[in-house]
Amino acid sequence: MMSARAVWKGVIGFGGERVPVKLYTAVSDRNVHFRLLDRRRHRPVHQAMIEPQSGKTVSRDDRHKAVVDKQDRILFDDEELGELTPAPSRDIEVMHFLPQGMIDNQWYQRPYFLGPDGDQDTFDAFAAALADSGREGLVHWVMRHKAYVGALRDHDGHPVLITLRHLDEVVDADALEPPGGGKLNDSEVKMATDLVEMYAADFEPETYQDEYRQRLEALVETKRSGKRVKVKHRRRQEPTDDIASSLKASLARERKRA
Amino acid sequence: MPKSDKSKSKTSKSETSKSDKQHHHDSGFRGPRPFWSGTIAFGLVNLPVGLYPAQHARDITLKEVDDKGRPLSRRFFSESGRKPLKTSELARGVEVDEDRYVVVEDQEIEDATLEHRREIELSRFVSLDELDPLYFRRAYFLVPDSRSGNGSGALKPYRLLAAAMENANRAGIATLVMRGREVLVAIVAENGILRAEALRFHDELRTPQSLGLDAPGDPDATRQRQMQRAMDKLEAKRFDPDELIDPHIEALKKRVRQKRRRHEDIVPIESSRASADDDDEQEGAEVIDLMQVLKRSLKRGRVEPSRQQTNERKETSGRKESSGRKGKSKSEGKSQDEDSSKSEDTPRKAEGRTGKPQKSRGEQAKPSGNRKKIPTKTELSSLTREALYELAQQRDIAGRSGMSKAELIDAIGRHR
Repeated sequence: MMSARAVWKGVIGFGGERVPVKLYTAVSDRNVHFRLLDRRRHRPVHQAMIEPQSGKTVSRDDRHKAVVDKQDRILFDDEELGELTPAPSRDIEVMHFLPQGMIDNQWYQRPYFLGPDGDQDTFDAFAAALADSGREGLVHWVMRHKAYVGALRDHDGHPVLITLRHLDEVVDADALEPPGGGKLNDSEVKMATDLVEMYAADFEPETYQDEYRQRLEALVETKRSGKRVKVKHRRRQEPTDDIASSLKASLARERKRA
Repeated sequence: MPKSDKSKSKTSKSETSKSDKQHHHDSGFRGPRPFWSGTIAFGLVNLPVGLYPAQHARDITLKEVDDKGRPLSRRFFSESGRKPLKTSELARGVEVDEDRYVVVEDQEIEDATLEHRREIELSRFVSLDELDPLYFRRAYFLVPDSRSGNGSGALKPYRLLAAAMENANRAGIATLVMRGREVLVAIVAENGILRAEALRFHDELRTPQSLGLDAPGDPDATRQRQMQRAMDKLEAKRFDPDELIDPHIEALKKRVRQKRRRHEDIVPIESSRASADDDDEQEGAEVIDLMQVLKRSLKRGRVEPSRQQTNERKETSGRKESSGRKGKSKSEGKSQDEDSSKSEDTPRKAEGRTGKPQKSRGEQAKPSGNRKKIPTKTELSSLTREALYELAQQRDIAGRSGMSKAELIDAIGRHR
């Protein structure tokens, strides 16, 4: 099969090593995409920016950017913004190699598979070294005028690069205090742990489907023939209060099943 | 940039916004309400929880303005038209052939959404290292909600579940329905706090094979050792979150401070039309609010009133308040008190409720009942962009995906 198109090319650098790579997006957007149409003509619409007070259209040349704050707006022109934009570069610079699992998964954002950009031998040696190291690299790079932080990991022999969220985008979990209270009853913790173990299962993501998306797809399909899609109904449950006896009963039920 | 400065300004913001709003709220505290609230069913134990997003809007954003610094809004035009199209003149469509579009009505999309389910059934626990990080999409904190249970409430089962999962080194895999969509989640316990990691569906991930990427070949042993040594030199034991600071945002903030000092390019805002201007203040405040909500709720083991409970309360107090699932889900970040305090002077579509009473119950409600509800700009500006987007989505507001927060507020305000 034909190889997919790379979204970007860069060079991973650490120490004196340089590994030229291509990035391939690992996420495929399966959502149904709606276009905005002119209802009468069934044609896609054009868009323009207007100043709401006057209703006047403002052309691209007359548009500026501003940081909007409570008491004022601070204007920026293109030139200034250009200066603030990170300088273009092909370098994917490794800051550190960390033990895997150090970077909490709440930072993960978007994965890319890596492939060689020319130098296959270097790429192969890098992929093997990364896989054997059991580490992940924390990398910085600039892609399409944006600064990125990423985790460079092994994924079953294939190196992947996962973009990470920036510091200001995530609620700091470490600053949160877990719910407090008295010491938990050891036997209850034991029972709950046993129950978790009884429910032990393999991660089988392929068994789950995005039903909503499927319905939308079906909707778009049937639209041509003018049919409609039906909806199902579900029920809900009430909470329990006696945890110990519920845990015990759950365990008993699961043991019987086993 | 100096961190103390950042946190100081944030704190003061949140204080102002809190005191501004306090008189609206009986408990004297308000913040974003959970994205989702419901029950975790673990064996026969039911644990009521609320979900709060672990990710939030950026610290600082740029908005489009004209040369006088006035904020701009997006409008849509037909191919030939000079006047912007009204919402009623717009439709949503899907391109089925080249240049051929099928119009999909709002109600049809609504019909495709899944019936709301208030339960997360936790009966599959997978080993933590089996969880492929490629799947992680978005995180939510789980906060226990003691009000729903009697007596000991949700706190104890929450702590027990977290402890058990940490002991077993396992994460729970489950599905829940959020905004009409099924969401696959991994419930992860960490330091006594439960988090729901929304996962991508299997078919949303490509594989190296599907991309046509060959597995890396056998490496040259010497080359690999060289690489290994270079890696060893960069070894670190701990992850420093400061590595995640966005240099671009920091540079922008620095320039903003500089311009303020020099009084350069500053356009003061007339208080009479402080609409979009509230925006950033609110956004900043909300960041802190979310943190405070989480801190306080986790400690207390209770979440802010859920949409469902809010509705029931309103219904029993006889308010003609339509709070459909979608309608309410947009009100994420604000208190229902503010909502109801405005309800007298806000035109609402009462017939939405009287006309379709069977649909106006709690989370099951269809949004059609309150599509015509027009929240004030202040109400809207206290919402996250995501919440506003949902609101825009429900109102079928054209071009919402490309809109900034201010534009969304503007568009929702205009939509009737």
